[in-house]
Amino acid sequence: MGARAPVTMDTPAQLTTVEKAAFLIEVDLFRDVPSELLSELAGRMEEEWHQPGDVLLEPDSEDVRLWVLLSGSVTATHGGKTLPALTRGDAFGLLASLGLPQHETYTAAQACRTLSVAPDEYLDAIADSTAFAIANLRALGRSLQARERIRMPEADPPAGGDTR
Amino acid sequence: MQVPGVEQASLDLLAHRARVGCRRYDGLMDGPTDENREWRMRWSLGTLHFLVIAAFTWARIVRDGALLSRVSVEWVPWLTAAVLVATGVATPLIARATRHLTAVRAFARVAIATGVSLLVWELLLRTKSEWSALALYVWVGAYGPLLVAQFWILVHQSLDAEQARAHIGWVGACGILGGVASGLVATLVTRAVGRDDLLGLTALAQLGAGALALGQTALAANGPGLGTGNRDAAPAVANGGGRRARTVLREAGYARLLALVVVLGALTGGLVDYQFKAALQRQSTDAAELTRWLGLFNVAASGLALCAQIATGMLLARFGSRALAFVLPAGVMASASAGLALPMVWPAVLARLWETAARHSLARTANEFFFLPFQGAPRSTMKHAAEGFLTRGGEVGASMILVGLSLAGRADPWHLSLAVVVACAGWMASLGWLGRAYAPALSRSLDALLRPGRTPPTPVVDRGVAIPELVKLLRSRDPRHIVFALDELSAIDPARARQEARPLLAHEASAVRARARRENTPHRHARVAATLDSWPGAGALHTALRSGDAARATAACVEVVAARERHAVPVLLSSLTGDVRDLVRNTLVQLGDDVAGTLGDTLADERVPLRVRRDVAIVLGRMATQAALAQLWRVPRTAPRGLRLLALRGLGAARKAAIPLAVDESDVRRDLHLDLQQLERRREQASQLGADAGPEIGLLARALDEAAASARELLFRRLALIYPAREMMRAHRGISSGDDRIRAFALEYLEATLTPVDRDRLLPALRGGEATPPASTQSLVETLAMDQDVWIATLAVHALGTWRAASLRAIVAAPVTQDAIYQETARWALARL
Repeated sequence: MGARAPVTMDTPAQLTTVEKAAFLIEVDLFRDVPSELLSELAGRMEEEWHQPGDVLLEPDSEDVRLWVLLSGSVTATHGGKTLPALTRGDAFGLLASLGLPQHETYTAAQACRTLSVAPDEYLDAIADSTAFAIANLRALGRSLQARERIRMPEADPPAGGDTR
Repeated sequence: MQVPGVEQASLDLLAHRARVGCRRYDGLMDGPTDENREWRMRWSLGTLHFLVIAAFTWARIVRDGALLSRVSVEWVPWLTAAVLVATGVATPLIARATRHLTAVRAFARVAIATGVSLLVWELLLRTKSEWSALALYVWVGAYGPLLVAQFWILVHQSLDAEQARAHIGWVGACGILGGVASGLVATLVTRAVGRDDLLGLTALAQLGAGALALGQTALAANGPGLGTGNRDAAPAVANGGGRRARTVLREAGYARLLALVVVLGALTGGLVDYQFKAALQRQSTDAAELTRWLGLFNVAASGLALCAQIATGMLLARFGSRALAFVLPAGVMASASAGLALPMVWPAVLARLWETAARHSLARTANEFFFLPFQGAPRSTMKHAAEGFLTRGGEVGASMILVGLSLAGRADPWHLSLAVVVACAGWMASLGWLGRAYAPALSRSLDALLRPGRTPPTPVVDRGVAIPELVKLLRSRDPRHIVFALDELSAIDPARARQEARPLLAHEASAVRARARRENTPHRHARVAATLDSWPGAGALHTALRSGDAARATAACVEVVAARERHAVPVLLSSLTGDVRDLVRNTLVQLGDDVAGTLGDTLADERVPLRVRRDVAIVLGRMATQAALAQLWRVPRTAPRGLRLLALRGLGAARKAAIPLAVDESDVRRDLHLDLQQLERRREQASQLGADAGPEIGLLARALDEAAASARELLFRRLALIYPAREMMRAHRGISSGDDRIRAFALEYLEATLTPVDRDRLLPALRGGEATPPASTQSLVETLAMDQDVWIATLAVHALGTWRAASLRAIVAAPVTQDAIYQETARWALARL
C-alpha cells in the first residue's frame, strides 16, 4: 500500500502541534473535544502528502490508521460502487481503528495532505479522558442521525398510491 | 382583585437571571421583533386583565354588600359549600361549551355569557329578596375564578416564553390597577347612584372584555395575535382534571405536601374572610354604607398589593422564596393574635386586608416557586388542582369549622381569632415541611429536564428493608434475578451475601456460579518482599504485558491479584498504555488497599507523567475504599486541572454511593474560593478576547472558555463534597445547559440549597455578572503567554508568533515550562521573527 510514500512536489512546511489542533477542531469527530486534549492527540498525529492513486486504507490491511484529510480529495469504493468523495475535514478509518471490519477502499483522487494516527494512540486518547470519549460518541451520534435522516424518506410509503 | 398570573412573573425572574449570565458567553441575541405587534399584544392583554379584575372586584363588592345587608353572615359557611357545588357543575359545562374553540374565543364567550347573566342578576336584585342575594353570592363565587383562570389560559397561549418575560409584569400590573380603579369607582358610584347599578357596570366591563377579545380574534386572522403564540400551551379551557390531579398526588410525596399547604392556606383564608364579614356586619347593615366600605377596602388592598408586588423582586432576591412564603401566614397570625388580645373590629379588618393584599402579590409569587419542581402536564394539573378543588376544599373545611363553632355557640370574635391562629400555625408548619422538601424535589425535576424521556428515578428507600426480598429473589428461576439479588445483597450486607452465595456455587447457570464464586473468594494478604528489586516476578509480568497476547497478559495479572503482589505496581504503572491499559487499571483496582499508599505516592509525585497520574486517580476512585479515597486528597492544588477534576470525580462518586468520606469543610471552602477566582478570571479574559477573536486567537479564546468551564466544574465538584452530591452535579449540568429555563432551574436549586454565605459568594459569579470592557488584545495575549496554564501559554505564544510581535523574544527568553508542545511553538514563533 502506498500510503506513506512522500510526495516530491513542493510542499508547505510541516504543521506545528497547535496548527494541527486548530485544524482538528474543524473535524466533526473532534469538534467537541477540549482543545488541550486535542493537542495531545495532535502531537501524536503524523502529517503526510499523497499523490493521486495512492491507496490509504483498504480491506484486510494490517496498516490501519485513523485519517483526517487536510486538503485534496479521497474517493471511497465498496464492492465496485463509488461512494461520495471525501474532502478537507473528513475523517475515515475510525471503524477499522476500533477493530471493526473495514469494507471500503480509500484512494487519493487528487494530491492530498493528511493527518493520521495509529489505533493504539487514538484509543489511548479516548482512555485518557472521558471528555474525549463523550465528544467522539456525540460525533458518532450526529453521524448516525444524519444517516437516519437520509434513510427516512426511503421508508415512507409512496405518496398518491391510491388513484381511485 | 386577583392576580393569578404572577406564577409567570416568578419564572420570568428566574429565567431573566439565567439569561443575564449566559448572554455574554453564548452571544445570545434577540431576533428581530415586530415592536408594534409586541406593544399591541401587551396593551391588549393588559386592558383585558384590567377589565376582568375590575369586573370581578365590582361583582364581589355587590355580592358582599347585598349579602351582608339582607341576610345574616352565618349563611356564609353554607354558601361556601354551595359555591363548591356550583363550581363543580359550571366547570365541565364551560369546558364542554368551549372545547372546540381557541383560547381567545373561549374567553370571549365566557366573558360575554357571564356578563349577560349579570344583567339578569341586576334585575333580580331589584326585587330586594333575600334569595337573590344568596344566589348572586353563589354565582359570583363560581364564575369569577373561572373567568380569571380563562384569562390566564389565554395569556399562556398568546405568549411564548420570551414574550412572557417581556410582558407578564405589565399584564399583572394592569390587573392590580383594575382592582384599585374598581374600588374607587365603587365608592364614588354608590354615593351618586345605587349599588345595584354597579352590577350593570360589571356586566358592561365583562362585555367590553369579551368584545375586545373577539376583536383580537379578527386581527389574528390576518397574522399573529392573541391565543396564537404558544403552540405547546395547555388546552383552551380550564377543565377540572380531577383524576389527573389525584394521580399526581398519589405518586409524589412533594405534591401531597404542596396540596396540604394549599388546603390549609385556603382554610385560613376562609376563616379570615368570615371574621371580616362578621365584623363588617356588626358595624352596619346599610347597603350603601357597606358598599362604600367594601370599595375603600378593595382600594386599600389593591394599593397594598401593588406596593408588595413592587417590593417582591427585592425581597425575593434578599430572602428567597421559602422565607417569603411565610410572610402571609405570619401577618395573618399577628393580626389574629391581636384579635385574641383585643377582640375588636380592626384586627379582623387588618387580617383580611393583609391576607387579600399579600395573597395576590408577594405570597402568590413566593408560592409559585413551589410549583417549579413539577414539569409539563403535572404542573398544569397541580396548578388547576390548587386553584380549583384544593382551594375550594380548604374553604369548605373553613365552613365546617365555622358551622361547628356556631353550633357550639362559640362563633364570637375571640373564638374566631383563636381558630385563625390555630389554622395559621398548621399552615406555617406545613410550609416549613414543604420548604425542606423543595430543594430535593427541584433537583429531581432538573434531572428529568436534563434527560428527557428518562424513566423517573427510583425513590430512595431504606435498602435494609429489602434484604428479605433479595434473599427470596435468590431462589428465582431466572439467573439474571439471582445475580442482581446477589449484587444488591453484597452492597447492603456482605457477610449475608457470602453466606447466601455458598449454596449457589452448585447452581446450574454458569453466570450464577461465577458470581457466587466471586463472593466466596477469600481476600489474601500481600506477602512482604525484602526490596522491590528482589521481586522475581517483575520480568515475567513485564514480558507478558508487552507480549501482545491478551490471554497471557490476563493470566499474569490474575496471578498478581491472587498473590496480592504490591511490588508489581511499578511494572503495572509502566504498562498503562495500548491494549493492556484497561487490564492494568483493573488489576490495580483489584489489588485494592494493599497498593493504595503506593498509588497515592505516585499521584502526588509531579515527576510522574501526567497520563499515568490521571490513570492512578481513576484507579483510586474505582477502588472507592476509605484508604484509596484518602489518597485522592493528595493531589496538589498546583496539579493540572484535569487531574484535580479526576480526583474530585472519584471522591464525588464515593459520596454518591454513600461511602463514608472524611471531608474537611474549611479546606474545601478555601479551594472553592480559589476555583471561583479562577472562573471569574478566565471568563473575564475570554470575554475580552471573544469580542473580536480573529482566526489567530480563536483557539486561545476557546481554550479560555474551556478553562472557565473547567473551573466551574471543579467548583461544583467541591460543592458536591459538602452538599448533596448527586443533586449538586445535576445543578452543574443545568448551569452548563444552553437552555435558559434549565439554567434558571439550576440557579433556583442553588438558591434553595446553599448556605447564605456560599450563596452570596457563588451565585453572582454563576449568574455571570456584567461584561468586562475590552482591553488591548495584544497586551492580554502577552500576559497569557506567561500564564501558569501551559496550554493557554502555548496558544498565546502561537498568537504572538502569528503577529510577529517583538515582545515574543522577552517572553520566550524565560519560558514558563519545558513542555514539548510549548517549546515547539516557541521555536516556531521565534523563527517567524
